[in-house]
Amino acid sequence: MANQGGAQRPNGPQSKICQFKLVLLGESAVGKSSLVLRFVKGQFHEYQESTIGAAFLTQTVCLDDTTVKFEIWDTAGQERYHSLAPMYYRGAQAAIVVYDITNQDTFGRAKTWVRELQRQASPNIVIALAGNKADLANKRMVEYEEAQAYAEENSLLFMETSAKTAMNVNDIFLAIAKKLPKNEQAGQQQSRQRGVDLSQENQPSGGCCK
Amino acid sequence: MDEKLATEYDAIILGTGMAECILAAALSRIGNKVLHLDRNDYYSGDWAGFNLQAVQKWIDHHTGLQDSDLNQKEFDIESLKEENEQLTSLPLSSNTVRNVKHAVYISDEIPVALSPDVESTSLAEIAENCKNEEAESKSADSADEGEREEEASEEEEASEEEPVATVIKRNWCVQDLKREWRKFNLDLMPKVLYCRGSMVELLISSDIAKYCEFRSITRVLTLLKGQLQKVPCSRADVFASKQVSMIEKRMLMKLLTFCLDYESQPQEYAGFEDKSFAEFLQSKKLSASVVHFVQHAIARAVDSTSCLEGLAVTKKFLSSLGRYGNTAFLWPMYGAGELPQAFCRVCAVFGGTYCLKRTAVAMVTEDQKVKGIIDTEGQRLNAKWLIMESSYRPEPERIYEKWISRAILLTDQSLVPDNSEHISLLNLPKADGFAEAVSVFELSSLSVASPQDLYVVHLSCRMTKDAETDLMPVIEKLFAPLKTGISYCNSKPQVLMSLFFNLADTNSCKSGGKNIDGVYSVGGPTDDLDFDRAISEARKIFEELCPGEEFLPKAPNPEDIILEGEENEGQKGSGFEKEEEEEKKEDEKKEEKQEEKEEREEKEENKDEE
Repeated sequence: MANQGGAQRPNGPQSKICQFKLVLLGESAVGKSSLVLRFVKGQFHEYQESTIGAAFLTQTVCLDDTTVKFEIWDTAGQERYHSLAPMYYRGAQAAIVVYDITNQDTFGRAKTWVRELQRQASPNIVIALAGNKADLANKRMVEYEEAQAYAEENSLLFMETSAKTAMNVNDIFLAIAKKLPKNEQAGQQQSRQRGVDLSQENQPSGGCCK
Repeated sequence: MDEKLATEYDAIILGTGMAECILAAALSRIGNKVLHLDRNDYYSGDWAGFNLQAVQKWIDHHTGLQDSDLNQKEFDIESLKEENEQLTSLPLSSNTVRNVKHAVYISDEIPVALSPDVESTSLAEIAENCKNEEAESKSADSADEGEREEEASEEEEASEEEPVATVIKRNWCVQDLKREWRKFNLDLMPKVLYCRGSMVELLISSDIAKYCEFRSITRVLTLLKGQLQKVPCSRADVFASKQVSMIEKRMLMKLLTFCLDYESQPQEYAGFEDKSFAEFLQSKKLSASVVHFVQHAIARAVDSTSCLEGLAVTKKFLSSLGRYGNTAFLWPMYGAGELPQAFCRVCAVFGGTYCLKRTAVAMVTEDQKVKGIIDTEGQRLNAKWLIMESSYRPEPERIYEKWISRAILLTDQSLVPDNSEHISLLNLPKADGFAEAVSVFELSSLSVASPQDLYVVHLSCRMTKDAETDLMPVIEKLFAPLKTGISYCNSKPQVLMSLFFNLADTNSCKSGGKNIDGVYSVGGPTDDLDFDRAISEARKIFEELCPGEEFLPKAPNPEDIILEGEENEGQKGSGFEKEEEEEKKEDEKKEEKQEEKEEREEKEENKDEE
């Protein structure tokens, strides 16, 4: 397993672990799955079908004293006919909205996704905008400055990435990890938000702890 | 949206309700090509939950103020069928909702006269008055209080503050609610899961559990001797309860212990096999309270419920206790409407295609066998099987014999306030003077279906007249009168908004119509508490369609799938070919079931190139 850059193993028992749900959004074929695969496995496949059978993948990122564990959800193709279920972004603390720098339409769709997240997702969600396929700069149709200006206006993290060359892939996840609230209060809120896990029997639950 | 769909499928499914989604997931999971359509712009059909904005849209739609969202095109339908094929028109809109009535009992904005200063002094005075009043009523149910405090001490620190403080009611206005619009998740038909019911088992066995989160139903309430109280269910509850005497505790424990294992002690209910559960309980020489707890709160049995049915439900309830803490039920976080979506995701993850705002205008058949559909965008789509929720069936076949009366209320206070937030379940038997037994859910923000300090209350019963007439007696009993203006000292919760409607139980759809090979229909939500009926219905059809196949096996570990045969590629990538070439290469490698996904990708590229 090839973890690079920001993605490292947890430091030790004293480091605190925060888990976050991260969703990927963006037009079909912009490279959402490739970004995840690059980040989680350090791999890139020219033709991959990772969404088949993949519920979600996980990967951890180590910051100074915190281990951030991402639970990464892919759209499973439900975005294709504009039919993504709201359940997909329920409780998501982070989102990466991906477009393809060689395709202006995908940037337009990315803006629509950002609006959708701002309307529907939790208000504190950390949103990153990723201009993917940055290795195809000679076919570029979306200028870096244009996307950056849009990201700034909407308080989004922004990077151009390449799942193929790994450029900025770990960095964008790391930047999200840094921006996510990891203080005590957020941690508590988060554990309060967590519900009953069906695989854990006989756990204390909800307001009726023993 | 001009996106063409692939044309060949194993199954086309109309409607995204619970049963349809379970079937979609189960079929797709074992490699069938599934196309799943819904006429609405939201998932879950009559199982859906809405935030405050979406529910307004739903109300407008069902009161004729807004047209449907369907993407419809003009086309010549006859040109899409072969000579020997028949077309049967399918309805484009739902007919499962009636008598929608929406009312607001608070002002749009707080009147200017109530500036913050004025408000705080007046609130303080009011609080004082209320305290005096409540002191009297408190002494009346001090026993109840005692129990709560005891419980509280066992809970976390949060509860260790002083006992029930006087609730100083906030003066809510419509703007306040609108600001919180997205924190509401109002289910058309709320549902829970028995901790040992078939939905929990299915979610675990299929691993779909990881898509959803649940909360415990923290209280089962009942109305006994004119008072709402907590029902002692578990052994610990029974012993801690101050509402039942020592003798009753023994009676209750003995009965509950028997019910948990009733099948092995048939002598205990000999002679009652053909009689009602109520008669069985009467024969046991129990106190009235004990009978009430077991019949109405635990078994939720009406007087005609058979003895064996009552015992079975009681057992299901009791065996559910303790699996996930001291509760028999789980509440799906964000509401019941989330669960169908979780199954849709599985279907999609295994290659199923999803399209909302799109449905069939006609079914294509030949010699009493289904060939496919013509969709609202004028595409001819072929499939072996056509599965539809009953309200998608041809017009003459969608007449429902049973309807459900529903009310959704937003209130400012819990029916039984204490120091913790709760999700409460209450069953009001017909015996209490209501036309039908009424099921009540009270959801605090713990349910993630209601904002902080507000409560969503769901009421439902079988329809006898219409929702408002059927449910008003219960509302009058439990809540402050439905009118504008807050009465601060009223100890009952104030209703801020109400929504009444009747929902068809489409399982009661008249059978009949032509029997067409390959066409299956499933029902929407019933007035049952749980999802189990939808599961058994889906499972039955699945077994007929795919005999011998496993029903929703666990998905393989995604990490294994991605690594499959690819270990040595990756890192740097081996040259960056043009995408069309990749597609061709890919074709060779693909398995049949993945072909459709590719087609879509190709289409996507073509589109991009344009």
